[in-house]
Amino acid sequence: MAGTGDVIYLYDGTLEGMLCCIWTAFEQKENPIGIWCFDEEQPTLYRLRQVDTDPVLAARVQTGVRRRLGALAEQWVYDAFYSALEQRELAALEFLKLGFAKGPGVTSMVGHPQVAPLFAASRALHNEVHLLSGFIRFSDHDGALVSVIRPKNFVLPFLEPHFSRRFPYEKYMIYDETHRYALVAAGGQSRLVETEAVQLPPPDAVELQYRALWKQFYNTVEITARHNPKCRMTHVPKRYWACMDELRGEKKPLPVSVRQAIAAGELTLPDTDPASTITTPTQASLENARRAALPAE
Amino acid sequence: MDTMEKLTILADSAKYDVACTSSGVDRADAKSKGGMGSAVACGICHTFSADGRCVSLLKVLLTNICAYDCSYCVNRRSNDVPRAAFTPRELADLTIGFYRRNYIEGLFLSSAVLISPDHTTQLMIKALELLRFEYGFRGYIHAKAIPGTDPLLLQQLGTLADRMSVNIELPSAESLGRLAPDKTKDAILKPMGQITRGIAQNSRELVQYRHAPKFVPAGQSTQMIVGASPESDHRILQLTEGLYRKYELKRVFFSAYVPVVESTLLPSTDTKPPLLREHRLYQADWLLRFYHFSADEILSEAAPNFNPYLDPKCNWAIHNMHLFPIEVSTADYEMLLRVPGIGPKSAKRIVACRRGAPLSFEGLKKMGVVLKRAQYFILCRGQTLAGLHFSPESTVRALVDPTAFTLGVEQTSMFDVPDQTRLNAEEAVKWLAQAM
Ligand code: SF4
Repeated sequence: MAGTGDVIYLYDGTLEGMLCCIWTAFEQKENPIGIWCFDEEQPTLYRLRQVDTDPVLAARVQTGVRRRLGALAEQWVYDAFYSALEQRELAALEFLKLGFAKGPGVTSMVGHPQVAPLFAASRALHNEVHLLSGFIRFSDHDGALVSVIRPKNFVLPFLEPHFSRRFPYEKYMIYDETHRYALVAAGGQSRLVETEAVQLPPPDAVELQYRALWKQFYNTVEITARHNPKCRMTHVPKRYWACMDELRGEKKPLPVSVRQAIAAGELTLPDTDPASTITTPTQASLENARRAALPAE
Repeated sequence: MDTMEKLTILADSAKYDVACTSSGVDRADAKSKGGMGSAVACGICHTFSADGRCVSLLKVLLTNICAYDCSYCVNRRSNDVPRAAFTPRELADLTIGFYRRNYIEGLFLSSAVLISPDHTTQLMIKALELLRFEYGFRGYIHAKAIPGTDPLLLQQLGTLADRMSVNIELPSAESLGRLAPDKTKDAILKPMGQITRGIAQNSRELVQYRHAPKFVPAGQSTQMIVGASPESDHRILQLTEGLYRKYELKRVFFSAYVPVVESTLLPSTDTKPPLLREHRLYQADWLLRFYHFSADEILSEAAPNFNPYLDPKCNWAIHNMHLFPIEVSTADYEMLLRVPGIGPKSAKRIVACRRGAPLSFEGLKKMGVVLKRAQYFILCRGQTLAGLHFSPESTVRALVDPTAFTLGVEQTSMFDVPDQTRLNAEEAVKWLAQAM
């Protein structure tokens, strides 16, 4: 698409708003160099265009994408919005520009620079959702289940179906500290609420007892003859540990070379947590670990 | 004794059991008012233990008080260990408490033989009834069937559980006789047969009446201990193949024997668990289930044990070089599956794509073929991959399995360790190339 490129879009930060920005870019034949939320607005020399959110237009974009590019493309645009991808709105726009030029085949062009970011963002998002559906921990506060998480992606809408199936008659809340949103569900109904912080009463005796039982169970099931902390690291990225009762306070294992050096007295460690200098596994290393778990083809 | 102590004892005795997949059933939500839970088809791991294994189920014994005396087992009657038993109520409460906090996906319930198989099974049924009916729990339950249990009780247990298993324990009747004198092959196979028939009958009933109660909807599995008795890998694999055929099992699990007891009948307690061997068995099991291999193709009387340096498929390939290279444009699906570097997914893609357009090496790569390995075994429209340097050594080098050097090759077979199995990677390549 030819067109001017010296403009920045401002929108309200909703999914509908993002779809309206996309509609506007096509309509005005513009190549915005940024799509910002109102609250991200910074002083700039570029022209600013405020894009109003119109649900009807947004729905038209959505159906258009589904009809012309298929459900997968629609899903990727949707996922991108909830992902942690930098400049996700622009990435979605780039993807759709290519998509409308190439047709439904665009979803198999996963190596293309206008497709790869969305593909990767969608995978990272769903991977995090999958991990969290297991790693989330609830505490029982007077019969209501409460969990606090710190995800990279905006995972709550994706966790909702899973936990509503799991707890159809429970009251539960998952608070996302990163994005400051809470998923609140009761009596089979659920909604998302913007919340600055949650105040929780301290856990009661029964709650503490269950946590202790769980921790004990966790420590008991390890078969020491098969001890393999590195393998655990690849499965449970360190950033989830703080939310998991059984892993809180555990240290990352040091690499063998470092341990040997310490044993031989060649190396002493500073007082800081040595674990924090080791990087958490990347998407790629998780993939590799998963592949390694399967027999070679 | 409080719950904490009981849990410690009963989780500790259950942990050597390997079957821990919570998958295989995708059940609707809890419909009964006040119920809870769903069973999700793809397994969810709730945490990973420090040995790197996925923890998704509360895996415990109902009790470790045992009337039997199997010599490889910590809970055998004659062993002096702390004993405990959950009441059905305690167990149900614990399961629900863990499930609500999202610690677990469900329950894996096994038990030692308290008084008799029937008595134990009745207690298990009681616990599961509390879970299913009083708490309305719809999460996943795997229950162990105890050999020698009355068929009616077994039937009852099967309508409460998602998956059942009977441990085959050891890979031969002789080993059973020697190490587990209270168990016989027949006593183990009888409930297995009953469950198989029950599942078959249930699926007929479900066709006729949609609301017929489900019997073991996630199917049946079994497990055996590897490395406590002298059977060859070939023998174990033949047994595995037979179990899949005869009992339509969903999975056969292998458990590397961790020496927990001092006994003249068993490997000494400083023996390392044969992890590489266990790994090879799972790879071979994969070949049986998804690659159309038979046990006798993978191993033979002449070569009864796995090659420590090669996974079983690569090992088969280098011993059948006369069948290669194959032409990918025409080879049938079964033959494509035999090429190192081609799996079921890429083989299916090849078959689908070659109808439309001619294949190329570049295209094969995109379909997921691992050319690094496959290049030595395939032709594409009559050509080998440009620049291919074929020699036994280069072939073998591309195939050698790095796991051999991380898990330790000396563990492949406990009873005969040929000297050539303690090589480094380069020596291994030479040795394998010579054998080709
Ligand atoms: S029956 Fe044998 S294997 Fe089972 S708990 Fe008793 S002694 Fe152990």
